[in-house]
Amino acid sequence: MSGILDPVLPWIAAAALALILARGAALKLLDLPRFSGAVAAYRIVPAALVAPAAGAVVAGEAAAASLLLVPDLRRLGATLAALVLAVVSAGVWINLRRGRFELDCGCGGKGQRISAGLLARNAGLGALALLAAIGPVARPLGTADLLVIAAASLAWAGLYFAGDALLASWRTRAAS
Amino acid sequence: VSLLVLSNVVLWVTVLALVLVVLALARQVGLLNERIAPMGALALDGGPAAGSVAPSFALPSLDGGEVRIGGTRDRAMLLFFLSPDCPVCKKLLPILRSLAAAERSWLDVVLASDGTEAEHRKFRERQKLGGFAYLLSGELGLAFRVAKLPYAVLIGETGIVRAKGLVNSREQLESLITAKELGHGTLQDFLAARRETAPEALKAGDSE
Repeated sequence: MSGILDPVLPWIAAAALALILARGAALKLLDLPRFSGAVAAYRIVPAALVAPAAGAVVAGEAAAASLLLVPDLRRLGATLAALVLAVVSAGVWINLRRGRFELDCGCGGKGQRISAGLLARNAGLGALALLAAIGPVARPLGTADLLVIAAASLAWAGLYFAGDALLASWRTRAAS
Repeated sequence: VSLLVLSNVVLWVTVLALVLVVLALARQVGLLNERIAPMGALALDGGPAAGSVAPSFALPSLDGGEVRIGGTRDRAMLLFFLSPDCPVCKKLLPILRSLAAAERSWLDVVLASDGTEAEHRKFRERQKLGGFAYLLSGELGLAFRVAKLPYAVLIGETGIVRAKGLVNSREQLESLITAKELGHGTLQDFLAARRETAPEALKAGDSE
């Protein structure tokens, strides 16, 4: 790949995306019955396949999160993350087209309804995955690089969590 | 160069601290929104209002018997509208079970939905709902104008609708029982009654 980008930038994207995906997977694992309920309510997979589909999404998220942090497998992790995001977004998009704006998105936590904002959010995460997939330039990373990666990825993930919380509360207030 | 390094470190610390503050603020906004939101069951427009006579039905239950809705009965009835693919309904089922047990002396809990019988029999078996009467009728939902699930209607002993609304939590379900005891059919009624008394209190304060 071309060497336009310093390896620090893709690493920041990868670490931030890994944090975000890991949190999503953990929240869904903590309340798996609710997540399968949400998957069933999307009315896309037949009832018999709801549990495997829900498991596949959680497993995909967790696997992508861990692969993103392995130097040689980062690109694979980014591809997997993009794939999971695309599948989930397609589910949201189909149900928005059906006019079911009341649907719980199944994103974990207190939950929020599906919305166009959710699609925009996922597109942002997709851009992060793209950035993480950019080929690394061969340059050994020093301690300073690692510190910058840690700080910047924490900042990005933190901003994402804050934005997501605002999106969720904005949606509930608009609905009530 | 050392100044540059120092300023970078300071900036990173500042950025992380700011992110933490924004995160805390976003959480607070969410919490405040939740606290402001009505805790009672929200009654949606339409359907027989609280205080009016409930429409009469006689419907077969999935457990074999027949259930009469409306008219004079010796017990009150809580109609709980649900659907197999509504996650919140499933979450409320254990709560509904404990409520039914606690209010057994005066209240019958009846489940209602519509759709194919086979699907609901399977749902009823899987969720172990054998203890409740279970009605399948599209007209019942239409008569009460049920638009969102889970929806509950409390009908008094004399066939009068006592309280109704969209229920998403234990508090909202219990608020229906409280509403019957207080005599306010809906949360909106209760708030309106409070609003009517509030200006008088204000006036009294002004005159002094």
